[in-house]
Amino acid sequence: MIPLLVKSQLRFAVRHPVGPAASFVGVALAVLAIVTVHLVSQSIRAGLEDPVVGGHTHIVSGDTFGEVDYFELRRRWRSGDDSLDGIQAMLPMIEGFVSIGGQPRRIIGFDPLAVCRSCGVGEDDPGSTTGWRPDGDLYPGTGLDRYLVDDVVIASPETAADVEADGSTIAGIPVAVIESDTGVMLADLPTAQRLLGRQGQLDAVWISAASARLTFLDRLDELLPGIAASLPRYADPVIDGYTVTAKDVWNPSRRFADAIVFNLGMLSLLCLLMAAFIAFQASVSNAARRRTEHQRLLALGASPGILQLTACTEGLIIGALGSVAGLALGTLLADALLQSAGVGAAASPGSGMASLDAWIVGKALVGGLLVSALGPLVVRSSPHSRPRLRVGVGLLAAVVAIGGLANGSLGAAFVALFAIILVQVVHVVPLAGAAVRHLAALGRSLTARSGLRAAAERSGEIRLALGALSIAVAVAIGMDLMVESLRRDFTAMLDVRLWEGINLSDADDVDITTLADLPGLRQVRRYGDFRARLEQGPVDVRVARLDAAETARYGFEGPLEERGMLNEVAARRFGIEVGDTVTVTAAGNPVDIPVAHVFRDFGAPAPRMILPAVLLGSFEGTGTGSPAIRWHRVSILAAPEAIPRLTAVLSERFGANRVSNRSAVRELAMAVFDRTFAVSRSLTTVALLVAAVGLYAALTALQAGRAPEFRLLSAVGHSRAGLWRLALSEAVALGGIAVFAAVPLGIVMAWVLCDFVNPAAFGWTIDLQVVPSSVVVPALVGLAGAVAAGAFPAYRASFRGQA
Amino acid sequence: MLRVLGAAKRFEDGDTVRRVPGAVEFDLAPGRVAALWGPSGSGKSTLLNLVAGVLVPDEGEVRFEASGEDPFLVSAASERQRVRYRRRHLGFVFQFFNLVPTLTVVENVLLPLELNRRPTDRQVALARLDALGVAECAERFPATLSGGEQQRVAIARALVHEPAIVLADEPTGNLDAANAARVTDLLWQAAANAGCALLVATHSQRIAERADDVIPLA
Repeated sequence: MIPLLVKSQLRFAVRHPVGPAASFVGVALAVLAIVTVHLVSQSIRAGLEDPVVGGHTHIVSGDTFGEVDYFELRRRWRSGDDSLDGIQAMLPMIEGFVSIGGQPRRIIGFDPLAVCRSCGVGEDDPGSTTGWRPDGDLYPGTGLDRYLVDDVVIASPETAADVEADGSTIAGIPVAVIESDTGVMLADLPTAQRLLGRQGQLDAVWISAASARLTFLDRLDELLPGIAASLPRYADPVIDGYTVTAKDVWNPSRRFADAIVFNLGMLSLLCLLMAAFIAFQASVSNAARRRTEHQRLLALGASPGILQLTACTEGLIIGALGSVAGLALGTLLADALLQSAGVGAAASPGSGMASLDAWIVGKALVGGLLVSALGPLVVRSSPHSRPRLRVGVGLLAAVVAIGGLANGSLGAAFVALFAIILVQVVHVVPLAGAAVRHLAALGRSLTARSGLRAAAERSGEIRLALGALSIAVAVAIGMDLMVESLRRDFTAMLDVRLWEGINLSDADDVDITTLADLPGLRQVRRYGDFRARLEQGPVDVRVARLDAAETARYGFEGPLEERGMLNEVAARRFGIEVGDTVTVTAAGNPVDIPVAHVFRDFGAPAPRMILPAVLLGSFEGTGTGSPAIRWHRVSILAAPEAIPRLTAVLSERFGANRVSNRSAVRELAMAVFDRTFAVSRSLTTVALLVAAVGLYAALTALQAGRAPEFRLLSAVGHSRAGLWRLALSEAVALGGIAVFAAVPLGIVMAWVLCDFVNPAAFGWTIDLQVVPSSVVVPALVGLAGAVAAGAFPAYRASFRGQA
Repeated sequence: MLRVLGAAKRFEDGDTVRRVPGAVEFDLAPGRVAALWGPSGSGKSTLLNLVAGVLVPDEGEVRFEASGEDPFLVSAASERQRVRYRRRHLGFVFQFFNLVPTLTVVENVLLPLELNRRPTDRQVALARLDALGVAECAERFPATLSGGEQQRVAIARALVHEPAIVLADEPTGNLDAANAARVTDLLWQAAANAGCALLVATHSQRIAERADDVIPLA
C-alpha cells in the first residue's frame, strides 16, 4: 500500500464528497435493512415458534400408536436395531387441551427419564448420559422439567393463577403448579394422560436424529434469516412399521414463520444488492472523474492494482462508517416496527441495542464492507466494455429465470426473480434508453430534445444507478400488486366466511338447543376440532354441518355428507387433488374419505380438512377410542340490528370473554394482515431511498462532466434558469427511462410472487389483479425520486454554466 | 540506452489502416537529449507512451539497456514488468495536469520514491525543489501554483528517483514565452546534472534545435 496514494484518495473524497456520501448512505441503508430484517425475523419466529422448541427432530407415530408401540420401539433401539442407529434420543409424548378458567390450554406430557439408550427407565440422570438434556433442549434455560413428577405441571404465571382460582385443580384433579414463562403447559406423561382423560394413550414418540445438515442450515439461517426455509432440514430416518415425520411438518407455524422471514430476508438482500450497485456506480463515476490523474499516476509507475487497492481502502472506510450508522438506525427502525406491529415486548427475545448479538453485528459489518469494497475491486472488469459478456450474462440469467420458475420451489422462484433483475439491469434499461433516443425527435423545444438525447446517451454511463432505481420501483410495484391482490382475495374470503353474527368460543359445554329462544336469532352452528393424520402427514380436522349454505362459504356448491374438503396448504403439501380418497386416522381409527373440494385458506399455515359432522361416528370402532373433539365455537347468525342485544344476553349467560362479534373478528384479521405486510412495505421504501441516493450520486458526477457544454450554452445566451431546466429535464428523462423499464418488470415480479413464491412458501394461490393504483403510485414515487435526485445536481450545473 | 525500432500503433479507420507514428528508429544514450519533433497528430505522445510502456506497440519494438542489467524488451514485457520499468527507470513531465491535485507539492515530489519503495526523505525532495526555485511552495497544493511553478515541480518529481531517462511531453506548451524558456533551461540543466537521458516531444522548432538529436515525425 502506498500511503501517499491513500492520502490522495481520501483528500479527493473530502473535496468531492457527493460520491462517497452516496456510498455511505447506500451502505447505511442496506445495513439498516439487514439489521431490521434480522431483528424483526427473530421476533416473528419467537411469536410463531411452537413454545416447546424441542431437541427432537422427528415425530414417530403409527396408525394405532400406543404405549405398546413405544415399548417395542425402545426395545429395538436399545438392542441395537440397525434401522434406529442414527437416533440419539427417544421420548414418548401426548398432547391436547384442558380447560382452565374457561379457556382451552395446551398441555404436553412426556417422560423425561426415557431418553437414555443404555439405561433402564428411571435409573439415571437423563441429562448426563445421552447428550440430549431435556432441561436444555425441551425447554431452554429453565431446568424445571427435572422437577416433573406426578401431579405437577409447569405453566405460565397467568395459567397458574387460573389454576389456583379453580381450587388448584385441573379437570377436577388436584395439581401443584411450577410457574415459568411458557405458553404451553408441561407435565410428566402419566399426569398429562390423567388430565386429558386418556390414560394409557400416546400421540407419538419424539426422536432426535443426528443431522450434520441441520447444523449447517442453522448457521446459514443465522447468516440470512429464512434462507434455509425452503431447504429440507433433515434426512428423514426410515423405521419399519412406523410413520416418521420431520418436526417442521408437525410444527407448521414454524414453516409459516420461516416463509415470512424468507421473504423479508430476500428483500434485505435486494437492498444489499442495490447498495452494491451504488458503490459500484460511485466507483465508476470516481474513476471517470480521476481518469487523467490515474493516467498520470500509471505513467509515474503506479500499477492498476495499487490504484484499485487505494480505492478499496476508501471503500472500506466508508463501509465501516456506513455499517455502524446502519446498525444504529436499523435497531431503531426494528424497535419502531415491532412496537407498531405489536410483536415487541412479549414475543421479542429482546429489543433495542441489547438484542444485537455478535452475528448481527458481524453480518452488518461484513455486508457493509463487502458492498463498499466490491465496486472499486470490480470496476475495471465493468461490462461497459464487454458487450459479448453482457449478452452472455443476459442469456444465462434468462435461462436461470425460466429454469427457476419451472422448478417451482421457493428457493428456485427467488433465484428466478434475481435472474430477471439481472436481465433488467443488463438489457432492459439500455433498451429503454434506446427508445428514448428515438423519441427525442418528437421534443417540441430544442431544450427538451437536447435533454432527451443527453439522457439517452448517458443512460449507458449510469446504467447501474438507473438499474437500481428501476428495480426498486419494480419491487415496489410487484410487492404492492401482490399484497393488494392478496388483500382483495383475503377480503373476499372474509366476506364469505364471516357472516354477520356472533361467535361463542370454547363451546364444549354449550347445548345449542338452549339457544333457540334467543331474540333475533336466525341460525346456530357448532364447530369442533380434532387432530388426525393422513398417510402423508398430520392434519387439523374441523367438523360441522356441511349443508349448502356452509359449503358455499368455502366455494363449493351443494351439501356434503360423505365427502370432505381440504385446504390449499394440505392439497399442495400432500399432493392431493379433488376426487382423490384420503385415509383420515384419528384415535387409531382409519376412515376413507373422498375429497370433494379444495378451498383457499389465507392465513392458515397448517393442513386442514373439513368433514361433515355425520361422519364422526365412523371414527369410533377398532381404535383406541374416539377422537378428542373440542367444540371450540358456536356461530350464531342473526339480523344485524339484533346483534348488540344478543351479544349482551350471551355475555351475561356465558361470560363476556367467550363472546365476540364477527365484524370485530374481521377487523382484527385485516389489522393482522396489514401489520404483517407493513414490514415488507417499509423495506421497499428503504430500497427506493437507496436507489434515489444512488441516482443522485450518478447524476452529480454526470452533470460535473458537462461543465464545458454548459459554459458553451451559457455563452450563446442560455440563462441560468434555462440551464437548470435543461439539466433537470435530463434527470426527469433518465428517471422516466428507469420507471418505463420498471413497470413491466414489476408486473412480472407480481406474477412470480403470486403464482410461484406464495404457493411454494405459504401454500396459497393468489389471483393476480393488476390494480392501476399499485402500478401508478410506485411509478410516480420513483419518478419523483429521480426528479428530487436530479434537482440539486441540475442546480449546481446551472452555476457551472455561469462560471 | 534506449533503442526504438519502428515501434508503432495501428488504428483502423474504415478500410484504411493508419500507423502512428510512421517508421521511426533511433537510439538514446545516457546524458543525451533527443527531440521528437513534429506537428500535432504526428504521433509524438503515442511514441512517448510506447517508450514508457503505457501503450504496447502493434509492430516494432522498444528496448532498454541499463548498465549492469540484462536488456529489457519493453514492447514484449508483461504489464507488471512494464510498471516496474517505468517506476524505476523513467521520469515524466507532461504538458497538462502534471501534478496530483490532492497531494501537496512536496508530496508530489516524494511520490516516485514511495512507489519505488525507497525512503521518502523530505530533505531530498526539498533540495530538488530548491534547485528549481520552488522550495517555498512545498506545502501548497498544485491548484495554487502558476503554470511555470507547476512545471518546475514536475521536473523535480521527474528527477527525484534518479531515473535513466526523463520523458517530457510538450513541457512548455502551456506556458508563455518567458516561462517556457526558463522551464526549458531548468529541464536541460537538471537532466544534465543528473546524468540522465532526456526525450522531449515538441512541435517547437526552438526547443528541437537545442536537442543533441532531432527525430522528425510527419
